[in-house]
Amino acid sequence: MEHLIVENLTMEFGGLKAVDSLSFSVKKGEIYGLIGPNGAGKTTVFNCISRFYNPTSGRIIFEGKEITKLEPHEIIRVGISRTFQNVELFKHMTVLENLLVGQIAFTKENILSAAFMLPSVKKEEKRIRDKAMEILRILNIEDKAHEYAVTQPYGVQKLVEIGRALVSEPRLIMLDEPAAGMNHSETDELAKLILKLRDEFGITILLVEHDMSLVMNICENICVMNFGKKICEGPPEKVKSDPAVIEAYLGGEEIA
Amino acid sequence: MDVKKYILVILLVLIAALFPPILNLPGSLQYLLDLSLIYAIVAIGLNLLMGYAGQISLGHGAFLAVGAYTSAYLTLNLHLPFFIALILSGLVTGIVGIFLGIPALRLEGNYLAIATLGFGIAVTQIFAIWTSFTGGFSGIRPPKPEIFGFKFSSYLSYYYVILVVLIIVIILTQNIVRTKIGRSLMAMRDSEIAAKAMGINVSYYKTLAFGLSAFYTGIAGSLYAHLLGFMTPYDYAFSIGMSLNFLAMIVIGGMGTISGSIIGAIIMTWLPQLTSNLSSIKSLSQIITGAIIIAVVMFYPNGIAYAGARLKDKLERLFTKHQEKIVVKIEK
Repeated sequence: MEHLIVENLTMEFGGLKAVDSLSFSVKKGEIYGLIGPNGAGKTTVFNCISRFYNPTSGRIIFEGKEITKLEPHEIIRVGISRTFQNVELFKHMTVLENLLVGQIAFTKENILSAAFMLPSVKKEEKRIRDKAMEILRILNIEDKAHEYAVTQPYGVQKLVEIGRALVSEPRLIMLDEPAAGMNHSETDELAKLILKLRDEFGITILLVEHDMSLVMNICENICVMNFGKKICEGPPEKVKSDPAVIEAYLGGEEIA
Repeated sequence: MDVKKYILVILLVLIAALFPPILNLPGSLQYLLDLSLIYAIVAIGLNLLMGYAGQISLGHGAFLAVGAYTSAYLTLNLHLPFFIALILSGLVTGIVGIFLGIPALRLEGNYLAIATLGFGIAVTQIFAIWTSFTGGFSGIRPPKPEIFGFKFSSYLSYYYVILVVLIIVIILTQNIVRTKIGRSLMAMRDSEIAAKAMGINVSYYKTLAFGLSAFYTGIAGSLYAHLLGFMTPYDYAFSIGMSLNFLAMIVIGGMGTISGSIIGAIIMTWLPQLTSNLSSIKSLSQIITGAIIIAVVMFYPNGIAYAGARLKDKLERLFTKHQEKIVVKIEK
């Protein structure tokens, strides 16, 4: 079953076509990789799906529903959550609070009930706190819960961001270069985590990544982009040996 | 909340309630005390907007004027009871705040500061001309507040009205900033893009922040009007100068803290008064006040509330280290 369909997506900035009639589809429960050299337009695709950019043309369909006209803040409600390339945490909030923000779309409180701390609000606060702590436990960073996000090492910040995306119980997570800045063992841990998200939580994963070994190890299908266009799509074995892909990566550099 | 904190809060409230009658301050100083608590409410409102939501306003003096004149109008012309006028002044000012929030959706940082500054100037000018509403130069006399037949005519008795309102404001604000709305505002302040991705309607929360902040200031404005007894649109509290003072309060006290707002308001209200007694030269007090502000900002850039927390932290660490040493010695 097709979970996410991107159809003839084009995004122009002035005269520049950052994404040029790109089409691909992600199946439910799949780990799908979006790769390509720097400036290929991968993050632009993410920003179109999360509605930060209004695509010039094309459609994005999630679970059979077109989401191309939604507002950015409505995307999490349809079940899509994301992380950012350059970690966008709420720096001056604690790790736990960051995860609480991840559930804001599903937190049932209004200004009056909150101001007077009605029992319903207390219950709701407890519910989301428990949920956030559970996610922190899964990520193995529960001991950092009450520390400020900005004081955390980079690796932990990346995990917090994944946690924040996870806590809203999304059905699709978009990870924008989750392994950037991580060492080998951290990347291995990350690969395990991503597989766990899919296998245990049944979340579909759309991944933009530069670490080729990670992509080749965990993705079932890959879409390779260059200059905004799709140059190849398929399972890792097919993509690895595709001459157009090898050509795109520094004119023939071997990709592992 | 632990027992220690409860005891501390009760103690603070008791001190706030008991020390004015014990000190038996002269009228002018009791007036200043009343004023500092009113300004504390404004500072909490401004801090909600700046410290929590990350928006700037240099027009809060104007909100104070809107609240004050609304309350004066409602009590003088419509003969509404004080308590209802107080709430309505907050609501009317809140609506004005929402309107000011609309340009804030398109402006940021310095530009927003200029826009709110313009709003502040415009309102005082309008109020100066609109004599049928404000009385212009000849001013108006808002009545002394009356609740259930009791007239709060002395500064001391009125102090308790203000104190109760301030305590309610503190409790409600505390609850708001600790729950969904507070988290949304802080998230928006730290990263607008991530806030959007997490489902926060940034336009809504920016407007809400302005509305809430103005609501608080409107409440304070109403309290101010009935403290004054005689009011003109040329009052310093409605001016741009006062708007900057409000800003100084929360910067000195601590951005994003309720306690900081109160500390800042008290310092900024009392410091000029206390320093004015040091010398017969009038401008010297302003110079000293300015110097102290500069010193605070230099040495405690996060504000006094954070400095206090850091000091407590240091003491605790020192104490635990000391304990560890003792433990090590005993083990040896």
